[in-house]
Amino acid sequence: MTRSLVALLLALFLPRDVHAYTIATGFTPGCHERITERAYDDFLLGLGGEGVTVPAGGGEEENDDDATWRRAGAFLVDQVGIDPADLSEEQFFILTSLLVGVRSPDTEGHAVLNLETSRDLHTDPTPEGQYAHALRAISDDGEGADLSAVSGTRARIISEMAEAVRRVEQDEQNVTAALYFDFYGVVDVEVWGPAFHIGRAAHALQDSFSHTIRDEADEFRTILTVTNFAEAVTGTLVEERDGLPHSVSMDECGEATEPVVEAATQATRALFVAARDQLRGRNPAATDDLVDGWVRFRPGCNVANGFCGNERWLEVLRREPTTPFLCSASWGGRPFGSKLADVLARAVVALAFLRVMRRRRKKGAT
Amino acid sequence: MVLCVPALAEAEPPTLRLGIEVHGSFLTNQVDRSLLNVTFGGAVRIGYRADGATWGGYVVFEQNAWLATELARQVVPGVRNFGIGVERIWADGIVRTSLSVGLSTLAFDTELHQKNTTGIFFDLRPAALRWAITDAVAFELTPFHLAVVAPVLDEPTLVNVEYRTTLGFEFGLR
Repeated sequence: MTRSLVALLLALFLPRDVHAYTIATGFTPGCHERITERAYDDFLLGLGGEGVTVPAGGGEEENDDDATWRRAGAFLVDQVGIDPADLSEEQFFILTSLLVGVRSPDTEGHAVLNLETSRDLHTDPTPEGQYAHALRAISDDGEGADLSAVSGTRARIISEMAEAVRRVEQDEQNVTAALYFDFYGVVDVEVWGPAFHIGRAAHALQDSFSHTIRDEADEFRTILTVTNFAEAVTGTLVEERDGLPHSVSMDECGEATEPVVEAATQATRALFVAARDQLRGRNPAATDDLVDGWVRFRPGCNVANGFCGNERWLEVLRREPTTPFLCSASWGGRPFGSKLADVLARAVVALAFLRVMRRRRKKGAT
Repeated sequence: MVLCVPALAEAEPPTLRLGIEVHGSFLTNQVDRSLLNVTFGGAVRIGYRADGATWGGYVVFEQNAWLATELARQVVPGVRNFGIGVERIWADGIVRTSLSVGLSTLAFDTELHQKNTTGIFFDLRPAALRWAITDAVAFELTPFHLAVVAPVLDEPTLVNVEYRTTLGFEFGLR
């Protein structure tokens, strides 16, 4: 019963297609966090924490505002299986900031189950909104669309990394970022700005593995096509024009996608090394080298030629393509006038569904 | 002497009444919150209201458990609320309107605050529907009422707006 109820709730209220490698929620595993955790060692050890100012406060003082980041960090770090006691203060602050950053593009600090913000965020009509997740923009149609999406994703990664460097150079290091907590809502958490932006860059890089078909022959370094979420979820996707739909099955951090996830982990590790080198002023071109190595495009591969020998990934992608979810885009226009009406209408639909299911079960039993 | 009997009967002290109830809430429309806001729990209410009187008063204790969905999926003990309230019976005893206010205490360690942090709560029930089962027992259904539970008032605040449905019984103890 509990399972059915949770499934029903998910069907009714969650965007069926969680956008990108999943972030940790009550309903989804922390795929982004897992990849980040696997890749972060070199970065933390290499940085060493010099020049990082850990916010004051946060000892044993209850309700100390400055301690919010520390409590949030303890939770996030613990969630990826690391004991904060194994880290120095600076490393703990950096890792917390990295994890807040890697989560942020999927929620911008809001609840995953806040349908209003999730819908606005995931169907963002601006190209930049889609490139933040390595997806095709609505305007990316026909020939040249894949290249445009790849270029947009590269630009996104480069700009986040540049922002990380700028914050170090101009000494604007500690900033506040929004993070959602159950029962509290959106809470401002102090983070180390450079790591926060590196986390956001890592998110785009990781998504460029789950939202594309890459060439297995070169260890998934080259992108062959980029999928489309915004038009798939609004039901306007025409595959010949808009590309392949985004895929839930590619978003999973599971057995079927393990080689891709492994490649994403390697790429994230490379991004952290590049970040470390740039922050230390060792190699100003490190990010360019990174995107040249991991976010490059090869034209000429398509459905007709099985993406140049990558039929396996086309098959995985087609297992669960994104489709419009219940009460989707048109609800954004607020035909019911108020959010409360929206909530109540959904509750009515949920109750009606439960009733139908109960009747069916009774029929099945007789 | 005989004439005095009805007057003496009317002067009887108010009846001690015990209310036992369970509640649940499912959704919220709080800005920036998850749409799902599953909470549930139970309460005990004890107070005085004379038979046939319209006004009464009571103290209430309740446990309100919460379902976390964002960072993990688990039921947590939520809060314990203790308060006082006033009630009015009207529409020939079919409807009870009440307002409770009191203290709300965290019953678990959240990610940001410790157990026993205390704030406030209030519960407004515009219309609880009542059915008398016997002279001393009534069944109550409150289809929809508003409870605001705020155990943490310092930043970051924890304020939960709950649209509850409640079922319960009221017993006249004397």
